[in-house]
Amino acid sequence: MTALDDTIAIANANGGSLDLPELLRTRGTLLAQAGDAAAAEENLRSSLALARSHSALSLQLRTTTSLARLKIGQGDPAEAHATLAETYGRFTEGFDTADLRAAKGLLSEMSAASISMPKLSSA
Amino acid sequence: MRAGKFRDTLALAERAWTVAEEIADPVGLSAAHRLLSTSHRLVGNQPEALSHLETWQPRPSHITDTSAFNAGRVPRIGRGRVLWLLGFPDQAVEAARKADEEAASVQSPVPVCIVTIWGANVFGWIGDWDTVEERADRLIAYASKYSLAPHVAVGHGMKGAVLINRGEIEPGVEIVTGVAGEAEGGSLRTLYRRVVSGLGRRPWSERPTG
Repeated sequence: MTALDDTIAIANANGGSLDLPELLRTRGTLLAQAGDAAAAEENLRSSLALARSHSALSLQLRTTTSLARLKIGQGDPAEAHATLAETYGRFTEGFDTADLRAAKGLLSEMSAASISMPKLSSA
Repeated sequence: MRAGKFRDTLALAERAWTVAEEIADPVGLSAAHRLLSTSHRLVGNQPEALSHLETWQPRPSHITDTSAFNAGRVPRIGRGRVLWLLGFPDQAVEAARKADEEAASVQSPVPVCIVTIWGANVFGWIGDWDTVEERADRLIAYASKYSLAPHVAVGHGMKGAVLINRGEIEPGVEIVTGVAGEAEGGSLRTLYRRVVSGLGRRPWSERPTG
């Protein structure tokens, strides 16, 4: 984590780089695994904003997938599901690659979970 | 560029473009397109990077330096990386394979090694670790034949990254760190770190993070 913090600090000090969205996403996933959900989400949202500003759709998909995993763990997947579905829907090719397969699998998992979950109004 | 100050690199590339345009030098304009493409990719302006790659028309007759790596001789080398970032994984793979053909036609060992290394990232990003491993083996054999020790070390680093991505973390990390000194000592420091860390950064999206 220290190496990651240092690298992100250097990249920011130098005015940014194409690697920053992935570095922030990686830090976000590590923070999530360490149990710091708030910091994890902050890093993932920063990663997503940067990836969007870079027009880096592949990195957006990775980050929205990581964010969806985090929000599932928090029991609040609705917004993350919509963002992931929107990002996945922008792809026109590459559906057999690892990231797209993972995203599609997660979307199916989230859809199945929402069907099986009782609606709040009837709970 | 090697210090990671990509904004400065972009400013220099823009200056190169202005000078080349002022003196109407086609070779200078071609070089400026290449520099602008690389700089825009590094700072994160991927559409601009692709635009310069599309309009860059290298003039092979003017590229006479065969002593070392010259990106002008393998103009498609960056295309696969930019296409993947922009969300076109299939076209990225196709571009990586075309860059292989381009490098083979140059008939000079260093461009072949560099293109083999760069292309491996694209295959790692799409999760095709068998191809990354095949490229690592090919790189090690080819670079050994020409006594390119730093490139051989990069090949071993790539194999370490493959192990990490297959879940064999400890032996993978041991290889990646073990050969780092040899790769970095041979002037491939930036390349080694960028390629191997890029490969080693597995798609965490497949892991539970909660």
